[in-house]
Amino acid sequence: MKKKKALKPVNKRAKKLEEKEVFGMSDDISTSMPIGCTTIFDTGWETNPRPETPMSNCLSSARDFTSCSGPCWWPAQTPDNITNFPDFQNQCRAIEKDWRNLNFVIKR
Amino acid sequence: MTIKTNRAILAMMLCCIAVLSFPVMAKDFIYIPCVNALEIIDCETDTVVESIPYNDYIVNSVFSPDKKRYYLNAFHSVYAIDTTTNKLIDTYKFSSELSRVTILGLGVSNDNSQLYLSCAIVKKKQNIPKLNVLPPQFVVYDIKTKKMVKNYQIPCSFTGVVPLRNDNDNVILVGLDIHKLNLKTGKLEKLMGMLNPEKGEEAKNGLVIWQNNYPGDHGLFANPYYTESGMGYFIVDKNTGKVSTLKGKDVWFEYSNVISPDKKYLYGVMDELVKIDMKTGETIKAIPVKKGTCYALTLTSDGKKIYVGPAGPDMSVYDTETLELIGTIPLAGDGVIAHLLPK
Repeated sequence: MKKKKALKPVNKRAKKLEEKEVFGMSDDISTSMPIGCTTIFDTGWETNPRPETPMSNCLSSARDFTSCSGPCWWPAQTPDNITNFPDFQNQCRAIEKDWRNLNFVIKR
Repeated sequence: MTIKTNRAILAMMLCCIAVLSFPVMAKDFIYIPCVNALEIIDCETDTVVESIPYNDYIVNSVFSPDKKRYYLNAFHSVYAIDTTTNKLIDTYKFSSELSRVTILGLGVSNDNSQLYLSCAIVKKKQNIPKLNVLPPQFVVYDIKTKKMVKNYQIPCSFTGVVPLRNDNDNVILVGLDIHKLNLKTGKLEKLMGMLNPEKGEEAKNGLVIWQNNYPGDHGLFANPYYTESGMGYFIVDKNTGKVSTLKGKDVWFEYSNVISPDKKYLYGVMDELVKIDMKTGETIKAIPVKKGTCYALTLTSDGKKIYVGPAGPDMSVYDTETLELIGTIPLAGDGVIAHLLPK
């Protein structure tokens, strides 16, 4: 069934701004997979079964930081490297050494 | 010609025969795509001998079957490294501002001519803040013409693309479950349920990012999984396309595995380096990795050394027999993967 358009342009300027189909995409919206973040089923590594040291995962957290920002594992805690902060690694090439540069993240 | 000259010529000829009769010993190198540079370690000296710059974060990588190219997946693009010259020779871009492609898994066809890509695609509409999240696609991409040859819709989250060395028509996809994808028809055949297990089986939780390689290339790709009652390893045989499992006797938290060339041992790593008996699943030895969390494992051709890392900016070298630390090699940046290339 063809969807009804929610908005109709009424003047010339609005018509100019009217949405255009790009790359042949359809109006069907699939919401099964957001861009970037949480692309992979991965729970459980955060729970730690060890009764003694090393007591937590990962150790140190700095060693896991870059890779968490890459596939967007912790988008609130790490820069989202796929969508919003694709070049954040230029500030922090090795987090263990460069973590002070994380005081602010420059958005592209 | 004097007798003395004849003797000298004979001695030289014997020397030449002696040199030619010994096979040329390949040197081991480890390729590590770090943040903003590919670092290459010479396993003889355990030092970084080359650094190839780029400006990106690399999530996974793969050698072409002929080992002439090393393809680096930067999510939105794939970089091609010529392994003979160690130069960045090409970039294949898959994303644009309106069409955002995230490459989750990467493989190369047996004839070295095509890339197999597991992609998540989101399209933006012009002028309005609206996104179309399209169904994930498996893309066959021709390297020479830089064109998509075919694409098939696949379920989401296939991060592992495993080409089969004796079967050009099928490829194994690993993610929430393990499937065989027919490249001619696009038909998916479920080989092992992980998130969707068979009746009576436990669900398996597996994170499939690392396809560590190994000297001799026996063709076994192993990855840890976790169930409600314990852990195990699924093993994809690239020679036959069959998938088997090995139940672990102990629970170790591991990111990735590598199987020894003689197939007797399986090594695993995360915060510990673990050596497992491939027959029984029993732990032979486990030690905490001194540097902390590591993602990948690489074995040398003689099987004597295992390189653990990266995660942070370093690789730790351990003795495979005793799991004693031999040394640590600093890297220029953080990284995710490492692969062996004997030359």
